[in-house]
Amino acid sequence: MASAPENEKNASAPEKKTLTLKSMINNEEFVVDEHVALQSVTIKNMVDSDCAGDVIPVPTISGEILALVIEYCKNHANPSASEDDLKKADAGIVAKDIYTLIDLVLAANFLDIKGLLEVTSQKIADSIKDLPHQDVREIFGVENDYTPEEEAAVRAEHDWAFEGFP
Amino acid sequence: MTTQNNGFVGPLPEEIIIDILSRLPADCVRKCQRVCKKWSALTSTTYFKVMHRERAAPVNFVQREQLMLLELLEKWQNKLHIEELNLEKRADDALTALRPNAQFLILGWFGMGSNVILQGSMSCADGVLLSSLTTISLGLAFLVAMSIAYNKIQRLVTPVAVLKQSLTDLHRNVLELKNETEHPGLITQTAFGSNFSTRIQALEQNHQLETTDFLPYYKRRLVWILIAAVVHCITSSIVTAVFFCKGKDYGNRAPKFALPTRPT
Repeated sequence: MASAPENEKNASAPEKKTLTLKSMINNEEFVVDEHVALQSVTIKNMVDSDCAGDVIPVPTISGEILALVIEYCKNHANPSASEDDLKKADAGIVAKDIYTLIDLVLAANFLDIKGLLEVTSQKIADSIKDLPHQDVREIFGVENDYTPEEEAAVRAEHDWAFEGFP
Repeated sequence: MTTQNNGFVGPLPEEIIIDILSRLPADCVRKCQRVCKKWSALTSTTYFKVMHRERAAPVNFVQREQLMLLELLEKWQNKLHIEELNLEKRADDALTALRPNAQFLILGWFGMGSNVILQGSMSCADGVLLSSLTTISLGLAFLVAMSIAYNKIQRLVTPVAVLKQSLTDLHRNVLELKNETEHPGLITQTAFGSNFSTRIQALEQNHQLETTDFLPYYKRRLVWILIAAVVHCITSSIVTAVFFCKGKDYGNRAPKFALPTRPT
């Protein structure tokens, strides 16, 4: 019975419904409008299947990254925003160092936000484009498992994308 | 920083890696194949190639044509460069051909003038006359040789003008190609890698090097040779004359044209 007034309140103002996202890494909480949070397919599925409580715990995403994600969602939930404004805002969000970007792309992948995933991937691709492969290895934390001979062979392999063309 | 990484990130899901790598230009993908075996395998699948082509396709086709055009332009530039070298060699040869004449001019004076001086067999006036005649005749011969050389250089004016026109055409084509490939709207403008743009830059720089005009240089050299020859003729005449007039000491005979001394 105690929850009855609360339910009524929610029912009387369905547009104002908010969700609380909680980062499990540093326990930061973010209160966002539902229609903003629903851009994340993962959260939408949770809400649709009624397994979301008032507070949705988000594992593996730090508060800092979550703030960026929510900023992106808020920008894109605004129906009056023009294409150019959105592009500018996106560029501002992804203007971070490469490690933050990788966290962000992981978050976008986990929350399943297609637009953010695309923007971040593109930005990462742009950032590693001009780096030597040793730096790329370091950034992505990948071990070099080539023997020197194999590496030389890979280097000699030249005609990858343009077969039959000098 | 509250993020969990410091230079190390947990392994990214494969689909994200594929997504990122498929946004890279082709030469960059090749570079990333050297990162590790897994990345090499990820970028070798047909799925990846199709994805990469979809993202790079619209420009790839144009770029092939552009690359062919670039190669044509490079060949053209090589040809023009060789032609320019040939023309310059012809101008150089025209000046080199003057050398025997110049040697003749100098040695002729030495041989004729100094021999006569040392033998002392002539009078002052005869000596001066002979010396100037020698110098004048040799100088005239040299002038003729120089006019031939000038003609040879002058005949190069038309070919050089044609060459210049071709170079301008080439440069215009290079600039057009550059503008075309630097179109900001195209995502895969560097699908052929930095290779393409550096080659265009090389073409442009070569053009700037090659537009130096060499004909005026050779004409200037010709003028200097003329001045040197004239100075040589004048000084050699003066030197011979001075020697002859001092040369009364050498000559024992009386001057041919001297008036007979009147007995007092």
